[in-house]
Amino acid sequence: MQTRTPAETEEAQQTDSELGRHLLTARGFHWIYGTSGDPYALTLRSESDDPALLARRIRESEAPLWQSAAGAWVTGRHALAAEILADSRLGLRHADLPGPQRHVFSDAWSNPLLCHIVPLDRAFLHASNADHARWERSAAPVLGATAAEGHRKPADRLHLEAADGLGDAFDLMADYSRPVAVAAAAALLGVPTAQQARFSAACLSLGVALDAALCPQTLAVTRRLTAAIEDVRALVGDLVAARRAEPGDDLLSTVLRADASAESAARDALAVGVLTAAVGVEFTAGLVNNALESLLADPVQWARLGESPELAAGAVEETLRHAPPVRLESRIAAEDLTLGGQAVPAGAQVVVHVGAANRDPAAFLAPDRFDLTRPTGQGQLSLSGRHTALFGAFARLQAEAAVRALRERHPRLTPAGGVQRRMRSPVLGGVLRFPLTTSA
Amino acid sequence: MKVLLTSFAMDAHFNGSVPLAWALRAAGHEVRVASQPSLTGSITAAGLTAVPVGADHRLDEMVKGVGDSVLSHHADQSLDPDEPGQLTPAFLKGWDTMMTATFFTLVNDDPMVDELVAFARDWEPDLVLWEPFTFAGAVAARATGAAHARLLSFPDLFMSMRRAFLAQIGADPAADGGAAGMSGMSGTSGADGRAHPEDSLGQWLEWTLGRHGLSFDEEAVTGQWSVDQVPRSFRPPSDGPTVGMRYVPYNGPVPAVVPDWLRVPPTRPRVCVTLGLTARTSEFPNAVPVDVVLKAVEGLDIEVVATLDAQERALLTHVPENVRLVDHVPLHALLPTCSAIVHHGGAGTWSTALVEGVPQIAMGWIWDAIDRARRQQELGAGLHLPSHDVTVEGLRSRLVRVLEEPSFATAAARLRAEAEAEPTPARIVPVLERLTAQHRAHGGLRPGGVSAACAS
Repeated sequence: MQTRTPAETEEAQQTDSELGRHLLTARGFHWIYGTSGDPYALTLRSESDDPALLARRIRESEAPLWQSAAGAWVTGRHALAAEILADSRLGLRHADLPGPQRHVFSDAWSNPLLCHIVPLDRAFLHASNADHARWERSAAPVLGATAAEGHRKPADRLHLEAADGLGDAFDLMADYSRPVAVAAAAALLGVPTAQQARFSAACLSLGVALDAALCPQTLAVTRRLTAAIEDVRALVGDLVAARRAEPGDDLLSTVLRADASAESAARDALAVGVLTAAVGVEFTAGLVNNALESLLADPVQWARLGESPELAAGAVEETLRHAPPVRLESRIAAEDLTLGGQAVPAGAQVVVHVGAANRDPAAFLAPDRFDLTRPTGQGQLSLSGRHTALFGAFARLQAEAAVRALRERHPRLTPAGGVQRRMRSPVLGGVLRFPLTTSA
Repeated sequence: MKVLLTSFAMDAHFNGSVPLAWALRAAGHEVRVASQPSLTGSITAAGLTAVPVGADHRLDEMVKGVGDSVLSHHADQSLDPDEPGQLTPAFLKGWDTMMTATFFTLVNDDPMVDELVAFARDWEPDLVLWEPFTFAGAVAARATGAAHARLLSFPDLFMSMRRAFLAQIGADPAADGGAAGMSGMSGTSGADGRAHPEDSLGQWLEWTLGRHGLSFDEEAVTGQWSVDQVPRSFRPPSDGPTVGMRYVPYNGPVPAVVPDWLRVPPTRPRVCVTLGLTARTSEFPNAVPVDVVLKAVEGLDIEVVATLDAQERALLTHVPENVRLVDHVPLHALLPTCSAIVHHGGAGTWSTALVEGVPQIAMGWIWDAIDRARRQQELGAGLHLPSHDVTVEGLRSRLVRVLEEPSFATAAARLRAEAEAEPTPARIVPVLERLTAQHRAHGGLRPGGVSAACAS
């Protein structure tokens, strides 16, 4: 199961000069296309420009769907965004490119393919729509929306324990959001105690995965990501083998049970397990971070949450809309399409700026306002991606528990300095540091 | 000793190293000049021995594909580190990211670097002199233990920007190195054999050196010292060891022939108009409106010698009667007869006019051309006219001033004297011998000349 195709081993064998130059060139292209002020290129450049301002420029472009200098067709309009994310003619991979989604830059310096900066096929991040539909179906008994309710008690217990263990001053991401999300994911997969440190280390390096697909990371970060993908594949692969021999009620066993063919079931279980680490953890932690950032910025809503803990669901839903943990969704057109009145050729990249669409005044009243009492369902676009759909119910449940536990145990929670986000993180806006105090 | 000279294949960047190569050769040293194959003709035309390495770079294709964007980031931007509000973090980050992706790694691509290293391993040079963007020279030197130095033909604003950039990303090599010299520095850039992750140039050099089993330090960017043929008034502040050298004009591989008309003294003040040679042979845009330039001189009581090739002439709507059009004339032969020069801002033209003591109206819109021209104006030896701001009236009034006000010629003569006060290439050869003996990783250097001048 762990054998690699020749194309996949090539990845690991790329020298520092080869892979490094590729990343430098891609980064160079983002800078080059940004010099004319192109808001999508500047979003990918992910430097000092305000991402919210860029999102607005993307949305307010004259055409609902417009082509960036970086090649992608981009939209920040809510209606079109929802239409694109629901369109099965758009997928995460090139329909005519089997195997790794690798694009090599020629020396021609024109029309570089910037849709898959590094191939992350080994992490199952460029899977077909058919694969995703099957994974969603087979994981539904554990990850589905109706199954989530059954996980509420353990999630609450996990978060209350974690909240109780926090000191007077702590970092939300390092001390709470990420470790608890990792623990929840480990529980989901049934990672044995002896392997949890290894799993946790892998998740940390995997945290850049969704960014790395669109925005070149540094060579060291890319190498760590690649190594973590292989490590988590090995770890989950061993778990899958164990569950085949001795099934349980965890996520991997559930996926294994869904398919009569043992081989394809094992591959699906591996995929879902790896995606849990590569997407589920960071998605969940990001949702918690963004929810707390909004809530703590608004003492009135923080107080209301204290009075009515059930508003945690609304707070998480509103965070999905107001500050989505996955901001960009990238797709490849499988055939010639007409989207938003534009002809989009087969093979073209289409990018939905979820963050921009979620602030579309055509879809929401006072879209820039964070309001935890909005009608339900308004954050739906943020759970309409292939990855966000798979882990949406899980992330939402964990985040609700996380918010409730912090509010209950630390009512005087206060930011101690601003939120620092990673550079080169246009998709996740990954949090580097979010210092808080509990007793201010 | 054996001296390996290297420049990426572009005449404008190679020409500045030719007189020193001659001096080394004339002093009895072995000299090889390595570059991509397309420079071979220029190297041999200069009477030097060529070593073609790698395949021809595709700089022109890059400029055609994305040049507008890369150049627009740097256009009309002062690179003066002391000018407030210029070297912003975003500007420097873009400079490092784009120039590394589109230029440094292109003119020092893997085959070029690897063949240069292979040649150096075989030939075992004592000293590698490299054009300041031809980092392959530093890699070859490190791979063989040779001493190595940069050979500067234009103000070293690159290093000022590099220093400012490293400081901004928190990788300033001088930060905790204090008095540590250029070698053995203990700062954060390269102190542990690694470049800062946001330092594109350093990262690329780290991988390139790593490919040859070597670790990175900032010396791969700075050289062990620099030979600087820019007059002191134009050198940005630097703490790196520098050997000053007089610029001796070598105007490139086009045959240098003195025409008949140049042997007769001019009867009216002579003004040279030139757009240089680089725009003729590359995709690099000149941005000078040549038709406007000639209209500006029409009717003035002067003799204009305009060096324009067929393509440049095709842009003219009218040739004034006081203009002599020539395809090419060696600048170092023409300029001693001129009262002023109007030019595109290129470093070779600027340097030649400077050592000939001719007041300059320098256009220019990018890189060091802007700061050179501004400084020239500050020093009273000419006027700056940004290429994008050239109008008939603006140029004509400047030219009249430069011809009529004697202060321009006086200041130009002062700069000429400053340039001539630097030691000639021949006189720095003993200095290079001494520095090479000091810096070479292993001994056994054949004795050279007597050390006369000192590194400053």
